This record gives sequence, structure tokens and C-alpha cells, in this order.
Amino acid sequence: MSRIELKHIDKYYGDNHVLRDINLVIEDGDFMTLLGPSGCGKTTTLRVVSGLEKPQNGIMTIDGEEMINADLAYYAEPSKRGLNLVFQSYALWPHMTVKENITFGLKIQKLPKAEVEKRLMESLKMMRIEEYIDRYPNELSGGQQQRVAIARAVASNPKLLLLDEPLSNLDARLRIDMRSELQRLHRELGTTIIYVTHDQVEALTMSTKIALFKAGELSQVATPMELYMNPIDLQAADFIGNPRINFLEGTASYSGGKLRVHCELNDYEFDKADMTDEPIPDGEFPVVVAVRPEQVHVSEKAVPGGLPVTVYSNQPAGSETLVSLKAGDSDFLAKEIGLVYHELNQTVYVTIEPEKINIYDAKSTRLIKRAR
Amino acid sequence: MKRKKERRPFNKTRLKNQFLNVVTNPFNMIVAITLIILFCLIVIPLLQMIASTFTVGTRSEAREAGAAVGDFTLYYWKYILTSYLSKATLWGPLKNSLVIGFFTVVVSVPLGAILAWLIVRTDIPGKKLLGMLVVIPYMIPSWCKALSWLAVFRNKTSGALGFLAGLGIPIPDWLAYGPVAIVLCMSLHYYAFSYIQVSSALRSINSELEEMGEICGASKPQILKSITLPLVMPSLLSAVVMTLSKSIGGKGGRSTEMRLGKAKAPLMIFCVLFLFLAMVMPMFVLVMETFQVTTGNGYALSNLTLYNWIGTVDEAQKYTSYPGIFRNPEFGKAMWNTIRLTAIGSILTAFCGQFLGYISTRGRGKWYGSLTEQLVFVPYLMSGVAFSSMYVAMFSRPRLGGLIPSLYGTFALIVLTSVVKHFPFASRSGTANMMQISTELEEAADINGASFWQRMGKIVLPLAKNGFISGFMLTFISIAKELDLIIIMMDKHTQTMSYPAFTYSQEGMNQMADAISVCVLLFILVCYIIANKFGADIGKAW
Repeated sequence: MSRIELKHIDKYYGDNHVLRDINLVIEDGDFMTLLGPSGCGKTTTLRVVSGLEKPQNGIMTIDGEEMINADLAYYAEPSKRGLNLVFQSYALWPHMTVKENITFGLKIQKLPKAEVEKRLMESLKMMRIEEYIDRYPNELSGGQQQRVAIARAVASNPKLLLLDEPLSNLDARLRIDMRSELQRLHRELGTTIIYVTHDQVEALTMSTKIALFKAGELSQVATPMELYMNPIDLQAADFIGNPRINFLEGTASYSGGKLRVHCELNDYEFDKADMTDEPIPDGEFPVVVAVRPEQVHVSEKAVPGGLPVTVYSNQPAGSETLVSLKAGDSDFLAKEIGLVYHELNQTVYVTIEPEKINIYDAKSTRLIKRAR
Repeated sequence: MKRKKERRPFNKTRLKNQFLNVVTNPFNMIVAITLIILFCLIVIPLLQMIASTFTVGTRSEAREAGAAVGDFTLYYWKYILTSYLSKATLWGPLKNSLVIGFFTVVVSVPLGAILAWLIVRTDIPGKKLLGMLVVIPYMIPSWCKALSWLAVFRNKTSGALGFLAGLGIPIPDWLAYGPVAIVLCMSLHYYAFSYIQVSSALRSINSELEEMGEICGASKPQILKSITLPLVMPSLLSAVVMTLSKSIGGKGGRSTEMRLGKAKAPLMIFCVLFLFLAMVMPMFVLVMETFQVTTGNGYALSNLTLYNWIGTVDEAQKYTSYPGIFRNPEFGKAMWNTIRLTAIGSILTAFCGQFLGYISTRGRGKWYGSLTEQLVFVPYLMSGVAFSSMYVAMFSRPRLGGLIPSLYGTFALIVLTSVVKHFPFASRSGTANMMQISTELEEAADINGASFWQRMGKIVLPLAKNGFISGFMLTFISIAKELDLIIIMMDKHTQTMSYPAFTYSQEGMNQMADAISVCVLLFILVCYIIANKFGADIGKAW
């Protein structure tokens, strides 16, 4: 139950500037995911929050209480921040049993014996690992170790739970199971969670909010839906979504409250209401038209508003079919639900709802027209 | 927005917090104290020694030129480098040292490496036993090896006959004495370093790398040559120069044994031969010699006696005025001193080593980490005699304004010298040990509210236990068999077993010197076997 605020956090390793002016507010009860490719600073941010790293600049508060004030060289100790951390490696103490691992912190806090026992059983039960209570970590599978690591973190009743790529060492199936369990855990505990991952599916499926990192900077903080629908720049758009978003080159001009866009697929006109606050260049300027593959509707028969394109390849994969299409020199991908078969080089007709399209300024790479 | 690391204006709270951050963190304090201690124990004596080479001493010809004691002089350097004696005092011995050093490396490094490979990597039979036996030659003190070498090869030149000469086999002088004997004896001592180095390197190599070579169709010699050898090369090289090497990195992966196939028998013979030559024969001859009336005269009943152990002077059959070693009043004292020195010294050294290792690993890449690593290595670069004379000079009068009293002639000085001299091995072992303990394990405890001391006590120490015992055993053995390091410090009250052995041998009482060696050897072996039960494995000490 806590609200975390990071203000102007800078972190250097020597001359290497790994966190650049991070400003982030995590509301009470949020499931905030720090998302980005490896080396972008997300784990460092998590370690700064936990107190294992000391940033050179900036302030951090938890529930209004200052935990970091770099100007005053004040850094609260990790254990005084009311949080707990699940490491990517789990960091279970190999010389302690599951029980000893979980109760270690509680005993350090000198909690009464009954309370220690109660918390131990609760967290074991929550993670469904009661039967492993007397095992040593190396007698457990990766998935079980993972649960112990989470149980250990949860047992201390943290106001804030930090998770550093906890699922990255698990196999694909276990990962899906754990995703839903983490989601339930968040609901049951009501704790604020900060979750680090490079896996966008994890981010999109579990979070209430996502902070997208790029080379030590925060590029966008938004709900999963918003991040998916309106990535703030071309890189974010490219990173989020699988299969990749389609980029089509085009030109645009803005006058009289209307944005007119031309690309090889079609010409569009958008209203000012759909536009972002980004500055618009004068005259005609290059843009990138971005369309999610699932927004491209393919029809074998001519339909009103349908644009004729040719089928380049067709990949039915059971639950969905990916169709590569060519319009002039531009190629793009359509995703259809279920099994669909098109002939190669066949002419099909595509329709795209203009309100679902994103337009980016090719030069600044920023989003200028939002999708609805 | 790009921001620079900025200099902030002066701020009292900031300064106070910065100070508190440093001071309230026990780790910082420990690093500071350690560096100060290392500075006092290593840097200052070293500087002192260097300075003394430029200072006129009390008893020297330099004074004749009219200089007063304590004046600056280049006399000693001139004397050693350019005088007509320098050939005998510097260049000759230097050449001998280099030649012997070179050939010892040539023999001992491959020997240790092959043994390590056989025991870590192959399916040679009786691995466990072999692994335990193979380090025993290292436990035989080098002077003891020299004695047993003489016991086997001694010829007419030295008067008493050795084992082989006694059998009527003519032994040439070049084999019995001099460079060949020195190189071989030293190799039987130093093979242990390359054995330890290489076996820890081999353990860290994933055997899949070798298996991949096999899948690609490489033969076993090819795999050894083009995969295994390059991978352990850094360790081999560092065994040669004994520098603190960075480990090859990577976690030890699967470890599948290499099948030796047809090579099994010859390699097994190699091991047995090694053990026979380096362990069984010298020990047998050594032990037997203690019962002989005349060395080299065979083992006929008429030539056997218990005199050397328990005889009294009146029973003496030959020209000797010494009673058996158990009747020597100094024996008990020397035994007690050996036990005392070894126990105190090796426990202290092992603890310091783990500590120094902790600082080096946690400070890796930071200035204090590399500084510690380098300082700690200095004692290795000095010979035992040089190191101890440096310490005698340093501590023969009160230091730090009487805070450290004069330690001249005390047991404490011997302990201190032994401890510091063994820092390199001990901290090497400590570093290897601490590398196994991931920092995240400590961080997890930190987040759970454990203080620095709680983390040390409940996480680091328990996890470091096995490595600690192995590292402890390593220093234990070296201290127990130490002679040249501490010989100049010993007197009647502080002598250890090495000392009477040495004096007996000097006076031609070979059998009694041998008897003392046997006692030392027994002591080390018993301790080794006990430590082995507690999980010590010298092969894993680094």
C-alpha cells in the first residue's frame, strides 16, 4: 500500500550514464511493469528503488517519505523501505531449507514465534508449496524455487514488492501459469508491485501500467492498452506487439484543422481532435503510417472502400493466419483469426479503419495522430 | 535532456550524510582497517628494507670512509653489483636460481597439470583415493624430501652410504647432489601448485565443450590439444608465474568423465610410479633409516636399532653424544611449538585469507579491491629468508611509539611472520571461495533486514565453510613444514621441529634428523586425514 515517486533520478557507473533523468510515479496498488530491451536501465531502476544502488542525482519518496535524496547524500537502508525483492536468480540461500529461507527475515525482525509461524504457513499456502517446507533449494525444480523466492518476499508483508524478471528462467508453459498466479497474487495482496521484464507479453497481460525504457530513459508510461494502441514513437511502436506493426512511408500536410496523409495504400484525412500535441511541420512533410496487422481486414471479393493488393505469402498457424500483402512497393502484414487460405499472387481487397491508424512524423519519429 | 554529473554547492547536511554513509557501513570500515594493516605489515617493512640498503649500518666497512651510522650510502649496492666479490655473491647465485627455477617449472608444471587432468577429468580407477594420495608428496617438507633424497642416493662423497649405494649400485655425484637433485626435489614440491590451479580450472570447464569436440570427430589427443589445453592455459601460465589470475569464468557445467580406453593402463602406471617415487619410496627409506645403525648398510637385524628414537647416551655404540630424539629435552618443546605455531598460524591465516578474499571479490573493479589483491601478493615475491629478515629488522624494536612492543625472539613474531608470508595462498583461496557466493545472496539478506554482521554470520560464513577448510589445510601444511622462513627467528624456546631436524642433519646425525621428519610428517598426515573427513580437499582450495 504505497505510492512511489521518482524525481530526476540519474545513475552513473563511472562515466557510463545508465539512468537518465528518470521521473516516474507509481500509484498505490499499481502493478507497474518496467519494460524494455536488455541494458536499458530497467533493472537498475528497480535496484535504485530497492536501495541496493545509490543514484547520483534525484529524489525518491515512498508514501511521501523521502527514501533517497541525492543532494543530501541521504539513502535509506533497503530494509527500512518496507519492500521486498524477488531476484532474477531467486537468490535462495542454498544452506537453508525452504522454511529457513522464508523465516530468515522475520526472525531478524524479531517477530514473535507464533507470528513467524503464521506468516510462514500463509505464504507457503499462497504459493502452494507447503509440501516442500523442509527441502533445500537444490532439491527443488526451477518453478518451485521461484515460488519459494516469491513466498520469501511476500512473508515480510512488504508494502512494495519488486520482481526482477522472475519468469525468465522458467519454461514457456510454466511462465503462462505463473503469469496468472502473479496477477492473482497482486489482487489478493493489494500490494504495489514493480515488475521488470523484457517480455512484452508479460507486461501487457499482467500490468496495470507499463513504463517503457529506452537506453536509460523513460520513453512512455501508460496503461497496457494505451501503450499498445498509441506507442509514443516509432521505436516504441516497433517494440510493442507481435507480429510487428506495419510501417508504410507516406507524406502529409496540415491545414485548416485537418491532417491529410498520402501513402501507397490510400489517402486519409484526420481531424484535429485525433491529433497529439506534437509540433507539426509546415507544408508537406514525410510521415510513417502505422497499422497493427489485426486492423488490416482482408476480403477475397471487392468490398466498398476495399483496396486491391496482392498476396505475397500466406501462413496459417491454427488459431491465426498471417498474410503478407503487397501494395505497390510497400509490403505489409495482415492477421486474420482462424485458418484462412489465399492463393499466392491473388488479388484481395483490404479495408483499414482510419481511426485505428497511427501516424508518426518520420523526422522526429513522434506520434502525431492517435488511434481510437 | 542530458545532465552532467554536477558538483554541488557545499551543504552541511550533505556532508554529514556522506560521512555517515561511509562510517556507518561496516564494510567500508573493514576495508579501511584492512588496508591500514596491510600497509603496516607489508608496505612499511618493504620500504624499510629498501631504505636500509641505502643507510650506513653499525657493522660495516662503509664506516671506514668516514660516514656515520644512519647516513645515506650507495656502498652496499656498489659492493654487491660491482665489487670483485659480486660474481660470487650476486651473479653466480642469481644464475643458479634462474636455472633451477626454470627447470623446476619445466618439470613441475606439466607434472601437476597431468595429474590434475587425470583426477578431475578422466575415468581413471580409484579417483577418490588417488586424489587424496596425490597431494601427500606436497605435505612432505622440502627439507624432508631433501633428506630422503639423500637417504636414497647418498654416496661415498658424503661419508655415509645411502640406500642405493648400500645395495652396491654406484651413484654418481651429479645425481646425488647439486642441480639435478635440487630440481627434482623442488619439482616434487611445486607440482602441487599447478595441480591445484589446473584442477580448479578444469572443474570450471563445461565438459560439453569437450564432448562437442568428440562429436565433431576429434580424437582424444586432438581434444586435449585444441580444446582442453587452450582453456586451462591461463591457469597453467599463472601456475608458472604464480600470478593471481582471473578465473576463466563461466560456471562449471556438466562434468562427464573422459574415457581413457587403452590409455588407462599406462596412465595408471604413471600415477602409481609418481606416487611410488614421490611418496612411498622416500617415506619408506626415511622411516627405515631412523632404525638403522649405519645408513646404507642394509636392513639386516644387526643393523637395526631403536636407539635413534629412545636411546640414552650410555648405550651409544658409535661416536655420538646425543640421546634418542624422544629423550632429547628439546623434543617435547619443539613438538609443542610446532603444534602451537601450526594451529594458531593457520587458523589466523585462513581467517585473514577469507576476509581478504571477501574484500577482493566484493571490491572487484574498485580501487580498494585491486589494491588489496596486489598488496597481499607481495610476500609471495620474496624468499622466506628475505621476508623473515625484513620482519626481524622491522619488529626488533618497539614500533608506533611503543604500541607494538619489541617482538624480537618471541613466538608472536614467528606467528606473525608465518601468517603474513602465507597471505598470498590464503587470500587466493579466500577469493576463489567468495567468488562462489553470489552477491545477490547477500543483497537478499540485506533487503530482509540483516545487518552486515548478520549477513556475514548467517550467509557468507556458512556458505564459505568447505572452501575455508580446504584453504585452511593448504596453509596448515605449508606452515607445519616451514623451515627457512622462520629459522633465523628461532631460539631454544621458540624452535619448531624443523630446527632440531636441521641441526641434527648439519651434525651428521642423519637418522635422528629423519626421525624428526617422520614425526612432522605423521603430524601433518593425521591432521590432513582428519580435515579430509570434514570436507577439506586441497585440490579445491583455489
